Amino acid sequence: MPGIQSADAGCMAASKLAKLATSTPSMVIWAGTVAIGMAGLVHYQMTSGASGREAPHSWPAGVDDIVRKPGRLTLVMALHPQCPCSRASLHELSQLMARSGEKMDAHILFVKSEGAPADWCDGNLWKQAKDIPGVSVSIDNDAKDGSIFGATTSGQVIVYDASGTIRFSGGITDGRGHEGDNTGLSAILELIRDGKTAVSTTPVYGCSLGVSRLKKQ
Amino acid sequence: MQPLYASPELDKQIEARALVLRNEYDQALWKHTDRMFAVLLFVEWLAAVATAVWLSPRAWEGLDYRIHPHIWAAVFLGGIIALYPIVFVILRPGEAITRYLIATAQVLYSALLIHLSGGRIETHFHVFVSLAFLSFYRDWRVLVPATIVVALDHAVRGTFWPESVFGTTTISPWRWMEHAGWVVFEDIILVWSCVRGAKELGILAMRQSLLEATNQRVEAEVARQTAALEQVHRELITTARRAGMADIATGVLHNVGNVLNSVNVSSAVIGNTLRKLKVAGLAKIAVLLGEHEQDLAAFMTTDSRGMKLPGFLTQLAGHLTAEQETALNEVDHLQKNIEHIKEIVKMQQIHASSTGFSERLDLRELIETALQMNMQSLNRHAVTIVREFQDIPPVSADKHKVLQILVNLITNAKQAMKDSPERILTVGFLAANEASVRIFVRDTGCGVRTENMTRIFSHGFTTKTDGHGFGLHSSALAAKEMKGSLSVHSDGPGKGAIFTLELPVAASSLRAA
Repeated sequence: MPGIQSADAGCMAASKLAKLATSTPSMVIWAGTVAIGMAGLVHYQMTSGASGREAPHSWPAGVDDIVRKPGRLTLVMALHPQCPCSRASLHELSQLMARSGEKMDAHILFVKSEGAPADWCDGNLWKQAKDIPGVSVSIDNDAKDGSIFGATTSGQVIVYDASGTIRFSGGITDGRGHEGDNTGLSAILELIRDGKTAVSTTPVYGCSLGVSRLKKQ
Repeated sequence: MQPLYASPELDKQIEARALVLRNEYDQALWKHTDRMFAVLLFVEWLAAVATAVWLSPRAWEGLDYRIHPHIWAAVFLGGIIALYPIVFVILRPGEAITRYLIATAQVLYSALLIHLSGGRIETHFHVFVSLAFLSFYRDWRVLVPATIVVALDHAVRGTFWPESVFGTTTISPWRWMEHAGWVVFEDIILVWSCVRGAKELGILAMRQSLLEATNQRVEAEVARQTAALEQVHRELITTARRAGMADIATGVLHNVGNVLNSVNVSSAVIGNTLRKLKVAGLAKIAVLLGEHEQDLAAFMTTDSRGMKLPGFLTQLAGHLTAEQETALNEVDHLQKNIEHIKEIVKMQQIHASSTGFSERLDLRELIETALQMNMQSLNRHAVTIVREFQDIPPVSADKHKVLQILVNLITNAKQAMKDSPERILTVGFLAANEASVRIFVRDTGCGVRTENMTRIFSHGFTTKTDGHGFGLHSSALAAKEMKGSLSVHSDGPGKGAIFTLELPVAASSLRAA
């Protein structure tokens, strides 16, 4: 009976496939694939943004939107308004401000590239930033101020001491969009507490601000 | 272990059965939990994709963007992690390898969700919730691969990307140890819980086994008792059958008795008629004619006695003819009654084999026969008979059963009117509806009390001093056997009664309608 034979063959093929799917080699392949996938994810998370120009050694002239108060630390953070990774940077900044004992002022520049729509900066990051106590927020049209500070990656933080000398430049997350204790945060807290820190720079994890492209244009 | 039963052999059987049951419980629990995790993993996959789409839809470079790698990770990596154990749940449910894969996948999902949520501390709760869920298996071994995956994740990342797992090395270098400590702490509690749960399953299996053994014993006892009861039942049936046959025989005798009354009357009438026959006059004529044999012509013409002889003979012939007719009528009744008795006896045989013979009935003739059987008695009691016959569809039934019922009802009616000043017996029939006809016997007798309306058809119930309570009972049974019914209505004592025999019309008549 051809029908029965073909049905038997179909059953045997299905049985073989099932056996193959649950065999030890298939488990090894699955474990390897998952391991590679997880490694890729971690790799992406741990890949920092491109570093740009070094930030000015002293508080730069021509930064009109930020008022530096004498005798206090001043922190400047450059953000891409749409970068999902920067949610973690703002979270860490919020932690930092809460633990700074009001010894530091912070200002966030929302970098608005040329050609961006009018509501480019309206979003959750803007609301999140505005809600952090002791933090002022402004839109940095055409990345004017961001360029001055040499920021190229969203989440980059530059800290100047009371005399206007740069003391720290880098990110305050230990991974892309990853909350939690990190080296940058610890360094700035040391600076606030002790007036000095052994770590003056850390990698920045976030989206590109597109500043270098603007400069090329 | 304490002996469970007196017999060591039985103890072994109970323990063996407990082991089988334990295995069944484990399999049922593991398969059920497998299915639960299959659904959970699928839901987690969807949740991972939704989380990535919600939190990290795009990766930006200035104004340019691309789909965020988190979305690809959620879709593909999340899919691979979730679907492979689901395949095992389908193909190898209840197996240890399936549980271990599920445990591995579940904590891998913890890691994936932690990544996708940006390392939110709240997402770390997923690890602990997953371990608790895994304890549903009541198999502490599933916690091992889960814990190993967590440890491996920390070890590998700690080696290659230490910041990604340990946070900053400057502030809390042993933070990961704290994380691992909480996991181990939960593991200890869960392992204890799993071992205890597994032990409880064992106890449950043993109890179930004991219960089954007890049930078997009870069932065996019930079977034994049931067999004894069945034997008693069979004996009861035999006894009841004998009693039933006696009952039927009594009913038959009752009916035969009714007919015998008529036979008795008929034979008495025949006897009286024969006794009254004027055969003595005929003998005297014969003697007279013998004496005048030599002068018969003179005797007939001249002797006054001879001259009266022709007239006398004519008168005698008339008398003899009338009495012969009366005797023949009674002989005819007698024959019918004897025929009826024969049929009643035959009915007993039919009754015994539970079969009946249906035929198209001429109800009018049947009623007349029943009346005729009681006619002498009815006349003696000066009962006026009224007939009310309407047009009805044909009826098929057992003729002699119907006759038996009618004779019973007429006899009862006659007896009920014994002391009544007005004695009217109305017999007739009418169509009840399309499917049945009603034959009724109405009397103006003593009536029936309300409380006796239902009891009147019971076996042995009678209001007559010389009654046996068989007539109406057997009549009601006969009506039922013919798929009909027998009922009574009375307005109360002294107001007469009407008995109605309802019978179904012939099937052919129904079809024609």
